[in-house]
Amino acid sequence: MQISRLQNAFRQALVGLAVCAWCGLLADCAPVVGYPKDPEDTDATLVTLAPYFNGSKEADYVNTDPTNVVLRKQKRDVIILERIHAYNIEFADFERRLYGDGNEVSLGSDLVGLVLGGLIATTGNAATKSALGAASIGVSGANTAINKDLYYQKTIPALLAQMEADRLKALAPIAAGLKLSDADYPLMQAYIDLDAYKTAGSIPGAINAVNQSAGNAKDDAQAVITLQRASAVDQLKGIQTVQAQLKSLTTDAQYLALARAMQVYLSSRSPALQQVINQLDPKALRLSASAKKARQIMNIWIENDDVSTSNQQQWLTAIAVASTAK
Amino acid sequence: MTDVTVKRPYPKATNSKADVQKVQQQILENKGNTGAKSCVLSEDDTNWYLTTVYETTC
Repeated sequence: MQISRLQNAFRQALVGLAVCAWCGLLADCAPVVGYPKDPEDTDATLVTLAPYFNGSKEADYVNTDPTNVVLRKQKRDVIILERIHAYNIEFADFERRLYGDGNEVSLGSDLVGLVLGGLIATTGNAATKSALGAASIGVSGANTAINKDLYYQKTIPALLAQMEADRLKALAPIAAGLKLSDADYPLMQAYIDLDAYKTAGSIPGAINAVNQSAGNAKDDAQAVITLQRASAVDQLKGIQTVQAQLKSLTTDAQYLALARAMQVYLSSRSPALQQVINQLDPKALRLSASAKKARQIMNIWIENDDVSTSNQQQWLTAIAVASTAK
Repeated sequence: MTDVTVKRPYPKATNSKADVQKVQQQILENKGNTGAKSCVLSEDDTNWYLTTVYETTC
């Protein structure tokens, strides 16, 4: 009995080890990074581009006779273009790693999890099922942990798109400068634009741009609604007359009833006032679900309503009807 | 939650500053019922303005 239990445990351990080793192999084979292999040996290219960053090409440019405008422009252009080339190589590598790494991990563990699940269903031996099941749970658990980074994975494409857009924007003044003479667009000025181009390909830069867009959208949502007012005195009288009657309403049911009674008049009010109410209560909760919302919207409506006699009469009648609600 | 800003112009030709301030006072006194976060009086050459920010509630 004891020996049989030991044999079972040994068998389970062997199966577990085999599965783990096989999982490792499968995960190694699984990567899908979303980018074709680059035929260029970019490391070697970057080495050849070093003189454009270490000052030697710049010294050559500076020492060129200023009266030889053609040669000077030629040297300037080469420095600018080679620097752009280097930035592009680094950005492509950065982009590849950002996008590729997340997919690699997730796809690998997903596939292993699926295959293990299939094996558990088709393997007859209880001990093997047990070992495979444990391994499957382990892999699924790992993937769950990885999926905590789902937000990261979903955010990266948006940030990459922003970075691409920012880089194109930053490239525009450089492209325009290349068409100018060396006197009008000297290398030192180009360096400033090149720095902006380099920074445009960063995550902090992209996050800033995205936040700026979100801020602009929020500002749009908070656009000022203008309500024309002829007389402050008349408005005050209107508010006070209706508010005095409103005090007779005390229950939630009465406020909901008032909101429903006034709803038929909303379309007769100014578009600006309708906009205020719709923005404050876009789902019209005041009409059924939320007495709190009904209380707020009715008070705001009164505060901003036109003070014509007919409008006041609508309020007084509606309040009288609502006061009977239970 | 998105706040809603309402701006009300009162022509200076027909309204004194004191009258507009009374409306402002009324709005501020009623903010417990309306959810008004602020009500600011401002002006330009032709108008007084009351700018009220209402807070949306659930």
